[in-house]
Amino acid sequence: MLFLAKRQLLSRKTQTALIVLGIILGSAAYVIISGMFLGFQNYIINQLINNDANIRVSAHEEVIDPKQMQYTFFGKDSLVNWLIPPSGRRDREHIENPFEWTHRLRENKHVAGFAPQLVSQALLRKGQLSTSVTMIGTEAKAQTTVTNINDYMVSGAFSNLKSGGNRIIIGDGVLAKIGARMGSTILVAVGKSEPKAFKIVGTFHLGVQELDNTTAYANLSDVQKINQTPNQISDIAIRLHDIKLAQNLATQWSLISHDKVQSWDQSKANVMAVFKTQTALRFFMTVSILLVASFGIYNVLSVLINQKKKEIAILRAMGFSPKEIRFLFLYQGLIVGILGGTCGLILGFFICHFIETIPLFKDSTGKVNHLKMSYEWSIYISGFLLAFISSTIASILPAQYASKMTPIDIIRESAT
Amino acid sequence: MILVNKVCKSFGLFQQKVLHDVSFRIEDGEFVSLTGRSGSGKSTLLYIISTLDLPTSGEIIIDQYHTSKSSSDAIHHFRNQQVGFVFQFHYLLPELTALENVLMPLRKFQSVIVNEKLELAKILLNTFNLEEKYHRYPGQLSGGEQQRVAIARALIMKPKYIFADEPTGNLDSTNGKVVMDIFRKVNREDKTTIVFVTHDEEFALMADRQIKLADGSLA
Repeated sequence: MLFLAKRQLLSRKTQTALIVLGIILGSAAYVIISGMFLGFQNYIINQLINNDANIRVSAHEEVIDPKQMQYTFFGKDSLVNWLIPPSGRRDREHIENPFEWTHRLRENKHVAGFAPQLVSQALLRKGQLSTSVTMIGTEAKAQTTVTNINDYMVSGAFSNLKSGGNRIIIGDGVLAKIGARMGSTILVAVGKSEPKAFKIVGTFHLGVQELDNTTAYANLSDVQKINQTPNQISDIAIRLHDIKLAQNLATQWSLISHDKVQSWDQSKANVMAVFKTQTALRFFMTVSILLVASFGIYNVLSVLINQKKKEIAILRAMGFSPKEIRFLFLYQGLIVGILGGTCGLILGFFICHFIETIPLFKDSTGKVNHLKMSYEWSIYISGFLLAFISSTIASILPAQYASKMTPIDIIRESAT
Repeated sequence: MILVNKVCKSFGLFQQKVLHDVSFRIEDGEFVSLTGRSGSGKSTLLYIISTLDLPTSGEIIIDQYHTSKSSSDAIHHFRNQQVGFVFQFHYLLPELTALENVLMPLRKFQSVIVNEKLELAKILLNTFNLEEKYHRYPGQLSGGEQQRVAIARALIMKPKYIFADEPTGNLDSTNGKVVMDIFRKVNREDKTTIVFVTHDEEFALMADRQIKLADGSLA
């Protein structure tokens, strides 16, 4: 039946070409839209996650629960009516047992690197200008194994923080806010401590404004000193070999530790929600396009079957079964789906490459930006499956209808 | 052998009877015409005895196959291997050449046509003076040529039975004669049982036996 299916398709070249074109456009649109969306998502993930930890261990924070207080002070069976229910938050400013974490992370084969950090809010001042930043005290070498900060340095090198000595690296937004420049000395104040002079030894541009405008890095021991918390750390930033394991490992570790452990996607839940919406939108758009193409297949096959009734009758008279007749038309839908799907994926791939070359705008560092496209194999597999499944569904109904025709009914119908 | 036993056929909402208690027997190798006036039920009877349709009551036994009781797979297999059909309107597949049309019944069980069968198809077409038309599409053939291709297709499986519904009905007298001569020759040489419906007295007389129908009963 495959032989006859191919011949029937070839005998109506224009009609076949138009249906294939519909599927090609549908699949290509899917590849392009998915490439754009996923490319954008990967770019954002790269910006947000690769410049931060895959998993972050931070000091425990706990909201005070009135019920818990009641159990502690009065027992479970007592009835307590609080005049003013206890409220507030019990935070620890530092990780309780950093050595245990160090041991645990060194032993774990999934961990690519980790950096102990002391994160604190700080006020940077130069002359009359000041701005508040998130000051991250870290070890330069460890930090570069955890994030890609080295790739985003505009001036200086991140390794300048290695030796300590009140050196600071700040985002280019911070630099602009306080009117400083590379090599300037600025005053850094943390909490109630006296401001200390720090020398700017580097600036970075991550491309995420909220980070570039509010982040500063310094050597861990310098921040511990200015914060008056010697030997204490508030965070451990962890980089994994496989980012997909982040959520599982974070959940595992949070069960065995009193500290707060969050994977990158748990801490960026709002961003992930946007991505999920984008994915849903991408599927709706593509399904709509393929639905139109599938209607094309359905209509053409339905018309074709009505035109081919006599041929169906003679095939049945030759001994071909209803199942074989069903396959005759199903094959035609599948050939069109597979051919259109494959060509659409190839076309989409080349269009994605073309789109990637279109210059969009220059960023503050003068770098020309392009749309980031994704070429993940999953896009191509799901694109092919979408084309294949939609053309199969579109062919099943007409094929089923054809298989139910009896030769004698067709002969009688054509005789009248 | 074909045994027709008390066959009745009714159609439509009001179960209008088209065949009434028809019984007869056709021996192997017979050349039989089914004749009668228009509406006498001859085509309906042909489709019932050829397994394309089922009787409302009564039974058809063809080569030990009880058509009402056999499985559909068995009937499809039997039809493919033992039965050849020729219709008034040829019903060739328009996207296939004459040669490919002839070979089509073989494709039920063979995805690749072996040389032996290809040669047989060519011999059949040559016998019917179509040696120049192997690669012509039905649209490029005359009515007579199309009907000869359809007969070649019916013969490619070397069937035991050929059923033809008005095979000359759409042809001029010369081409009609050619078709009937082919049937006669196939019947004599290959001992193929041939049952054909015709309203043409002259062609009906060419058969060994005539079964006449009048108002759904044997006349």
